[in-house]
Amino acid sequence: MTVTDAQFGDFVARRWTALFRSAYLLTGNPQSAEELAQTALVQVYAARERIRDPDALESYARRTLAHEHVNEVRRLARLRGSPVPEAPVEDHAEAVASREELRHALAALPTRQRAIVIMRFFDDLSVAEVAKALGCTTGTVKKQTHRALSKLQQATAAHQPNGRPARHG
Amino acid sequence: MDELRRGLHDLAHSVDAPPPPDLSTLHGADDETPEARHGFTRPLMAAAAVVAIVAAGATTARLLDDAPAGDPAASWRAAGVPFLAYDGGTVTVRFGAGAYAVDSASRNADADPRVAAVAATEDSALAAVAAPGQNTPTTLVEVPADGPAYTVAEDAYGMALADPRGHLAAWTEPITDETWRVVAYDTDRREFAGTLEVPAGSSVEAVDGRQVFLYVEGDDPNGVWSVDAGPRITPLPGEIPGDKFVLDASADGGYLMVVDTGTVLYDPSGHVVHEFGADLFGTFDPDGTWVALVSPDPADGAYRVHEVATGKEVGLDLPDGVSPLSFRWSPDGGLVVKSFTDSDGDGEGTVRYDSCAVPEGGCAKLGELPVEVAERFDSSAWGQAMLTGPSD
Repeated sequence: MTVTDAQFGDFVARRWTALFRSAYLLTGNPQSAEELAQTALVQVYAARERIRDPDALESYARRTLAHEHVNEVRRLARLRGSPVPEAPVEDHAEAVASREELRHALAALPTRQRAIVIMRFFDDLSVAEVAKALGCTTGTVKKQTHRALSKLQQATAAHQPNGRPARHG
Repeated sequence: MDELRRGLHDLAHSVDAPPPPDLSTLHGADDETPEARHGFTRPLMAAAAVVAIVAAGATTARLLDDAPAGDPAASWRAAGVPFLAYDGGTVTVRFGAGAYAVDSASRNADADPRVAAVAATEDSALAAVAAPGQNTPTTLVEVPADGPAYTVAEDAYGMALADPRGHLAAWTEPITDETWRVVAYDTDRREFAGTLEVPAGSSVEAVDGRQVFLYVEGDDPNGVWSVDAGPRITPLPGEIPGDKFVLDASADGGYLMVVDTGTVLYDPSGHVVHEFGADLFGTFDPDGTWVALVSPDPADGAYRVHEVATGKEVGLDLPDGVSPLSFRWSPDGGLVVKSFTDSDGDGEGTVRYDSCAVPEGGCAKLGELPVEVAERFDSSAWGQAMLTGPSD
């Protein structure tokens, strides 16, 4: 048994908005979010024969979303000739609302850490599911979660836009 | 966590979602006819093309019989560090006295294998070759100077690590869905030093002397495997919290560097020696005298070098505009720095390698690679594995 076109279409109709929102948290802007969500759906559609269970589409799509985002950022970094694959960070002085503060703090996280935070605390995936999605160990997910949360805490508490430690030496 | 969850939901709902994509033509994508795809939105078309290319791609790897003349890795080997070289134009990598050629049908960094030098001695190098993609196993290849290369492991997961002097490397391999094994390999003797069964998902955190520091799935995650003492795990010394993880250990497991909210240095009894106060990844020199730390964020470029016993900080004489990405100590105590540099600010930067003397601070340039080549040898924030395959 495989996922039928009708089942896939029903899934997209029901879950498109939720996927778009996850993509928005990952990318930080609506246009990129739409493109990312569409790209992920194409991947899911291409893999529908392996997925088999329609109930598994959701978790597969969310994993693909994060995976695609990490790959896309790396690809863009290569095109730019820079090994710094991070989302743009706007001037933090303009961010006065907590929502903007969180958006800035998320944008300042390394790509994979941002994906892990969103998968764990927005998509509510388990550590094991996140590890499977990103192709790493659960230990890695725990470490990266810890590190990301520390940075988010620093960034929001100290009003530092990038959450990075100060440069020394 | 609840506050973070609320914040994420609030942020996600602050924008209106566009209408869902028109999937009517996607359903006909399998027949590969242009007509069937007519009506796709542009991103969907592009993504569908990527799927097709990836599905059709093929990658092979082969060992060369001998190394080409003029091995540019010679100067790096002189520093005692197992670096890879790239001859430009083709995806061929060389290291040590042997050579390993990677041929790919795509010439696409997303599809080409990644190659890492895990450890090197005077007469051989241990290399990790990882297929592209996520969650794929790594093949570990021993390349001796005096004979043909051979495969040491075909199914290694995670990052294989070796100590700075290069005599012990360790990695994980799956046995079943529930059980993995940790494998220790003596790169000097070129033989397996031991194995240890661990829960699936466990990982090697550091290797020093004859000890392997592990993150073990379960309630008590941090442990030490003394390879010569048999297959058993002992807890970390002293009062080191179980939910922290080890970045590195000094020779023979004396000092431990542990990440908390910042990076903390513990002495052999488990007492805090120094708190670096920042989330930096560090690595001890082979004697445990110095520790070099670098930010895990490549955009940051922050780094510090400290004397372990006193906390004294020394500087490195690196040119302006050079941002360290990772450090590795050579067996003789020199510090090799991998950095990103964009001297003319045009965004077409390169990755350069310097050998720095500690504590004097003087640095000499070893070599330079295009970014797209250096990326193939992913920078690792974990100082000991400067060149790695796909990792966290």
